Amino acid sequence: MKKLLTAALFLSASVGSLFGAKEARILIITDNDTFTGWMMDANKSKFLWRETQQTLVKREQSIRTCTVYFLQAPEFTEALELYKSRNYKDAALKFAACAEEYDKLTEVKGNPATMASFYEMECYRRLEDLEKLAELAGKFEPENLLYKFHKVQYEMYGVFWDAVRTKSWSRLDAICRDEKWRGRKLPGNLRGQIAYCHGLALEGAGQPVKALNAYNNAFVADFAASEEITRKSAVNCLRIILDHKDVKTAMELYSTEDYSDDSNGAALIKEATAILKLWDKVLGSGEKVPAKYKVFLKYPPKNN
Amino acid sequence: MNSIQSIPRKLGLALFALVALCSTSFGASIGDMNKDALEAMKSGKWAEAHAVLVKATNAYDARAPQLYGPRFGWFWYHRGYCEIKLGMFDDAMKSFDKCYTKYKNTKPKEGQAPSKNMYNKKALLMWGHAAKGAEEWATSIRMYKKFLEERDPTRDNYEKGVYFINMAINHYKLNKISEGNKYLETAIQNKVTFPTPNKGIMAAFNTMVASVIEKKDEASLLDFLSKNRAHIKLEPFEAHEFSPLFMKLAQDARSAEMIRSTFELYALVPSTVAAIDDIKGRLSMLSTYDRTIRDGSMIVNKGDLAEDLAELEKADTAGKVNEVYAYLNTAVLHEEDGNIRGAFAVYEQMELYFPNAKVMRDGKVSAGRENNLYNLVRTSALIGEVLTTEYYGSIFLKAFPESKYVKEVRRMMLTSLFFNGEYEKCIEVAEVMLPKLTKPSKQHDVCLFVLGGSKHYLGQFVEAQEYLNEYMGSYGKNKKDGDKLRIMATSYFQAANYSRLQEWTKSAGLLDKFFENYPDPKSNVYYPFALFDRANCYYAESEYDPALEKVTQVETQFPGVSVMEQNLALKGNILEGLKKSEEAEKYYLMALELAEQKKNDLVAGECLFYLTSLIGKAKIGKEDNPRVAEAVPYYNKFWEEYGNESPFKAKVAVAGIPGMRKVGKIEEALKRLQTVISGIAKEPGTPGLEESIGSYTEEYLEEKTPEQLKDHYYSFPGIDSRDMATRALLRIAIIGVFEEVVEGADPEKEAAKIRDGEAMIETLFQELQRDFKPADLSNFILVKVGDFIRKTTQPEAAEVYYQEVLGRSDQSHMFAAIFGLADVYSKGTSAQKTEAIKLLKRVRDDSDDSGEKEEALYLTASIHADNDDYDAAIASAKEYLDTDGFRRYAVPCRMLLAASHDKAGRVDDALTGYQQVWISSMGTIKFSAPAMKRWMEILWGRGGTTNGKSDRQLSYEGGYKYLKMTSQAVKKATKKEKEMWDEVSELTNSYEANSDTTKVVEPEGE
Repeated sequence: MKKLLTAALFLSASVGSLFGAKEARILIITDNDTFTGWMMDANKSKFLWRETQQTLVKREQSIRTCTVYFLQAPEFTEALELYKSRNYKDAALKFAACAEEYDKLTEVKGNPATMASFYEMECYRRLEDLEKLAELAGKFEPENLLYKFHKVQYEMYGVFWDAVRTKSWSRLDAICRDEKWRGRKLPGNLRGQIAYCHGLALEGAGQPVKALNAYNNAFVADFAASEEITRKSAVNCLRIILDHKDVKTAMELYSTEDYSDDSNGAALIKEATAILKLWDKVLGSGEKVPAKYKVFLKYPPKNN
Repeated sequence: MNSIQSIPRKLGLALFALVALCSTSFGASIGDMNKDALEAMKSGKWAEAHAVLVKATNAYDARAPQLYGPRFGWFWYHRGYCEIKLGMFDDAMKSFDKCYTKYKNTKPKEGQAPSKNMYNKKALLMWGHAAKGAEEWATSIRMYKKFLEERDPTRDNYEKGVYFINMAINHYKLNKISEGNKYLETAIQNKVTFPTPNKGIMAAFNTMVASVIEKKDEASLLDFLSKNRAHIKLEPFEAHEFSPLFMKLAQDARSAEMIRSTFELYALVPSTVAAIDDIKGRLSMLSTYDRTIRDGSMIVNKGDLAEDLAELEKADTAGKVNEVYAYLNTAVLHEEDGNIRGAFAVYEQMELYFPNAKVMRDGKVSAGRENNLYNLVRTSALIGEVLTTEYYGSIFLKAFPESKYVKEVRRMMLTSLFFNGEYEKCIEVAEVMLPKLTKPSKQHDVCLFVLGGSKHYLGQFVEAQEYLNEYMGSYGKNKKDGDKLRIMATSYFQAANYSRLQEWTKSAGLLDKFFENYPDPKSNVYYPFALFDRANCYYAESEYDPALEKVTQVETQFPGVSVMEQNLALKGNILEGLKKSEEAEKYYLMALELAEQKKNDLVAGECLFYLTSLIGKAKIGKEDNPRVAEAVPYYNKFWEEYGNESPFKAKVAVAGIPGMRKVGKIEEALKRLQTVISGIAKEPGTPGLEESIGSYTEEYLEEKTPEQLKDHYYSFPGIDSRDMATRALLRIAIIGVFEEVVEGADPEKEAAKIRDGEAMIETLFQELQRDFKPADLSNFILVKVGDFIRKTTQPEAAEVYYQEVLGRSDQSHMFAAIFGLADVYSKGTSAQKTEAIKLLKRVRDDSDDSGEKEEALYLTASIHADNDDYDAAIASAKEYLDTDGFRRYAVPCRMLLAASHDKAGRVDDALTGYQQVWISSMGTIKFSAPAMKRWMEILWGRGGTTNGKSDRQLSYEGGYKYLKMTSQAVKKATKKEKEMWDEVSELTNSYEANSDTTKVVEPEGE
């Protein structure tokens, strides 16, 4: 027999205000017992819940005296499956809808609305829609995110991605070199983002060859699992190499006796050819490489 | 998926309970067996239960259909169940076969009690499980299908998740991948409603990957992952459990060269820190709740999470994390495909984020950092990240001083640094390394090469030469391919370095050999540079035509060479040397344009100097230069754009003076020159200070007296009292002025002026010696002071000044110092004289000042003569006399030649020699008088006859005529010369008094 919580019974009339909002399936854990139920509304100090969705009896629970486990909401599961399937456009819409549906619960740690809003931002980050990301990040409250690295990711929107959005290259370069970020023990996908942003900063600051290193860091940081960062980094490397004056010279000289395999241009062409090979194996995630970069294949080393 | 695990315990126990209710209908004995078996199974005592069930089936099976009817199938079903639990899959299949085929539910025969085998159809499902356990995949499929066809949906329930997973596995095992995928996808897509446990999904996935690898059907796996990534990509806390499986599958895929699959599989491995974060977050939500939660398809259990967290944190602390293997394989893949930069990126991440990584190697867990860090150094060197190589190389050497890679790391740090122009760092490392290396060895070879090359590039030519020579001596004949580049490079550096030391002859010889050994410019990157250096050698030796040929070769055949602007400027110098001023100007302008285009400010400034100097000469021959004012724009451009940084500022400040005077801006020019003097005085080693002071002095004296100059120079504006070098230069300038005063004064009318001037000079030199240490003085001053001292009674005191010059990397005034030192040694011991000759040879070979060469050759002859090496003295003297343009020491050299023959006892040659002296230099008493005296003595002593006249008469007459012909000249002679002349006179008189001669009688009136 469940013990009664120290909750007051609410008048059924107040249920009317919840029509249209989703309730989250929860497990309430107190020092003495556990309860399952549906969370209806919440603020910083307490929440309303009911044992079944059929009952009109609502209870109030102090957040201070319990822990809440949110079971994954079906809408969230659906959106997350799209996200994991790399369908970020559709996932973003689903996460947005989910966030809206549970928006009364945002004051509670780990609530589905906050989680959905976070993943919605992730979708736009992966789609590199930085205006939308900035808009969403501006109104997002990260406090109730459950995971430390989700909070770090949110911090990175403001620090790294906003600098990319505003093309603040020298500031971004300085941040990427800052030991606070460079020396931090982060999961590979976060390190990959930092490296990618650094690549953009270096390119923006007119240091394309240094950017090659940053982009390579980006696509090995989580062994190409962040496929969008990987692909863009690889394409950027190919573009940098194709635009390099030594490469152009090497291509011009290729059919002449003045061409040398030992030249910087030839070395960069070799590097680009390697990236093309790796594109098919791992970097391209099944997509085709832009045709113009296949030009590198016309210039194999003469003395293998 | 193992079928033992596929039957949930609660279902089994429910069935047992149901059967137990029926057990009372069996006979007493079999009833006991039924009861005993049930008890044992409830307790998980499968072998015990199995023994009871075997006994029952053995004892009653033959009669059971009659005795108990279909319900006896219970015994066979549960016997099979126990056999599955005990791994006896073949036996289990037979047991389920019996249950299904022998104990079908049929209508009871007459007299028989109603009997029903509740397990008849379920036996098919269990048969399928058993067949899977027995690896009879087709049978398993058949039985599962048969079960679905025949089961009673209202009663014969089954776990759909388990069924679909097992069907998938069976198909995969039969290499029917697409059919298997259909079952697995159904299990996955319905994993919440079936439910399908994640473990089952992973078991099937494992089987699928094995099958894909066996069939080399990578497309199926990629297609499957593309469709089902959302379900295979588990949350980090769940994925952690399967990480070893993903890693194994990735490794299998890698072995099968299915690279894309490999990385798709690595992508399923969660980051350790992300998994820890995920678990911590979930644990914070679970608080004290310790029961299992089914959250959608996820199973969440506090105990499991806490256990996983402890395991992950331990692994993280110990460095035994799964992703390390993924990283290392990524590195290998990138490097194998030629993307070294990708491998470098991996190794850098390993060092930054997984420095404590442990890896399994040869069946043992070992620390990976040494290898990873070594590979980081190696790959950074390969992609030319010099500073990174240096940085991580240093970390490696500190962390693993005993490593087998130490030497290799040091070498990579060096070669990487060297070929990227980090010469200071190369020297820093190589100087420490070199003494510790075995020689000869590869490490020593590289270290020596880098050290010599770096010192050469940094302008430390004296030290560089030693290393480069040692390198060529030790390794220059190596034949290995890997060594060829270093040998070729060092051959060039060695030759070029000699040219920087102004040892033109040696440099030219080595450069010619270099062209001979490496004649193909296509495989010799140093070729155009060597041509340029060779041209420089020719130019230094004033061999303008071959110099012109070389620079033209560089200009036409190597249009893109990096030293083109210098080459064009040199061509201008050469053309100027060939008196082709117009062409020279054209080339200076070309060099200037290119230098400006390439932002080579140094050469641009140099070209502006050449132009200012060429166009801005005050006179051409004896005529005023009509274009002198045209130099002013170049002069102005120099100060506007390059003046502050250019080492040519002193030269331009001087060269521009005539032009500036012409356009009425001499004050501005002098002010500029004064600023330059005080400015370059603050930058030790800047050339041109003494020339600037010289020019300034000259201009100052246009309107001021030497005394005013002295006062001005003792407190020169902008010169700090601690700036010894400049102060000394100014003192020398004053000395120079007073020397000119002394030289220009008439000894008879201005004796006091001369005396005062000489006193001033002596005082100033004494002050210089007293107030300034040699180390404070510039080369120019050192040579000046040395030269002053060596002409005193203590020439050996000059040695320290010359040695100071020769010990410096600054090569200015080197030959003057060598010459001075040789002169000091020439007055010393025999060994010092020998050393002096060596030094003088150096001057003769390499000085680009023909005056120095001339003096060196004469001094060489003198030293040989002093050493009583008459043949050598004669040879040197003859060489001097045969050299075009050498005139300054022609008379003393003839004297030396004659004296050497004389001392060698070659009477006739001596006579000829002395005669040439007194005939050709009659008026130069100091030579003609002693030559005449000795000529007379030899001839007198020979005592023979020539053309009918005795030698003694000829001797006397020669003296007589000489005295007569020099009677006017001797009036201007010095006291000492007069004494010499008087000796000839006395000798002539004594011969005249001798009876062997007849007195010359002059005709009257003459």
